[in-house]
Amino acid sequence: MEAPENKIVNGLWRSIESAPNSDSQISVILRYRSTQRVMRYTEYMPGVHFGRRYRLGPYSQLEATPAAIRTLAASPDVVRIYQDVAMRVFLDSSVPHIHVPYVWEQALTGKGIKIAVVDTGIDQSHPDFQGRILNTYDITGETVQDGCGHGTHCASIAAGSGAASKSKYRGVAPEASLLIAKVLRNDGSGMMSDVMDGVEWAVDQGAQVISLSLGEAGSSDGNDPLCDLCEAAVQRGVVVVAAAGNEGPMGYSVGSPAAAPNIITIGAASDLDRIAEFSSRGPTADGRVKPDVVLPGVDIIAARAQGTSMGMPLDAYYTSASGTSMATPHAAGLCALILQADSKLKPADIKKIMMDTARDLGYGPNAQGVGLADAWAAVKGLIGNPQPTPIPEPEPTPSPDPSPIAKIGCLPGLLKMLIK
Amino acid sequence: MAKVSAELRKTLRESPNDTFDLIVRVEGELQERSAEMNAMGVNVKRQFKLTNSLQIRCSGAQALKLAREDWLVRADTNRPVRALGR
Repeated sequence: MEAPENKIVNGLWRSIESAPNSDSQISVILRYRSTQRVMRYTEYMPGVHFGRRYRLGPYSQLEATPAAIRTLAASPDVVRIYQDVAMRVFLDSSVPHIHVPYVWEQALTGKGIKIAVVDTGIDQSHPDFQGRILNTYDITGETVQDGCGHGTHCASIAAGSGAASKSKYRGVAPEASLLIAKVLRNDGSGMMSDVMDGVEWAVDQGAQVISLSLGEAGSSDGNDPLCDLCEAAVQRGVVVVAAAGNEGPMGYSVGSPAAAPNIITIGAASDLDRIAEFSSRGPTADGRVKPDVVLPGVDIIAARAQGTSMGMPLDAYYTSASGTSMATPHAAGLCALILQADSKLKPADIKKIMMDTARDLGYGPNAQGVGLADAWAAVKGLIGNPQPTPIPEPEPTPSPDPSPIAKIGCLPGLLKMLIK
Repeated sequence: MAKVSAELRKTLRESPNDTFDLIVRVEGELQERSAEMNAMGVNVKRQFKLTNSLQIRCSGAQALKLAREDWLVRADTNRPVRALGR
């Protein structure tokens, strides 16, 4: 029989040894000899709070004190005890999740398309944007350098090259050109008039797609100056995508500019195809269905602006953040890919294509719109005889915390399978 | 639709001496309207040609006066917005 200490995976040992006191609860996943051996009596063991039992394999999740974990390890029914680790959606999984690499295979990478990111500015020194920032405009008086991190993160989801990560954190349209309007101060706030100024500048600059990961709180009927201006941009032939908001799950939580009728309003989903709790729900104040589609927006790792701490920084170049803000630039990048496939398409055509090819996630229309947008489904009808090579979708990798458990390649995939 | 919402009109009436940050949509040339507003003592901050609108700062009393102009289509309060990521 295997020694009890060998059943406890290394990363968990570290947590046991560094537990602040003997009552500390550590979330663990137990693997048993067989499904029949899953020990329901652990529910009643001292120092254990039973979490859940999985149906597809001999596993359970529970919280236990260090002493209880040692006791569990001594049981002949227990094969392994793993530390429960935080799961994240990385750009390297969110982008494949909406089948963008199939589109890249068709030489569609956004090249020649101008995406305007109207936000908190950008870190112009970040390797992921080198040579592709066409112009910048600062309305705040703070300079266009992003002192918040939000705009840089959004820009890299739409069009980051992934240069600082050997292409791991590559955005949806990694060769698109960027126009950057800084309309929100470094604290992430601004006024409606500032955003209007930025949108108008972007239109003047020839932007083909405008990405707005911002908005006002509350419910909108789409009848205000910012919505009007976004509608005017759409009438000029510019695709405008805007974040639905983070006021979910309550209904009537889509504000301005997300409530504008002819823009594309974006909600947030996880890579497990669940609508994010925070994602704003429709209808709009005047009863229209919003959002239009959803895209990945939970724990997205993308570019970090130098010296900022937005989200959960991974390293000097990347950070993880959540919000409909993160879902929206996925849509902006996708619009760029569609436009590269057929530059004659009008904003209404692009919206229709995106909505017609989205995948129903089974939620109501005011939570998911028509569902999760899919890049390959959207683009394949625009190109002749497409033949994509299957690209396996990478499994989410564990927390950036450099725990030894991250080296156990099968566990994240296993967890994903179990959760599904 | 009303040029000024009932709620905003009430606020303007109750605070005629307070300064308001507004976005107004107008008919006619923006330059011409800007000049007219400046002559009325209204501070024109920005012009938005896509919607023929202006961002202005003025008192409540001035805003109510503007609302009586035939060329004023609509007036709204300039409102805060914020980034939607965390």
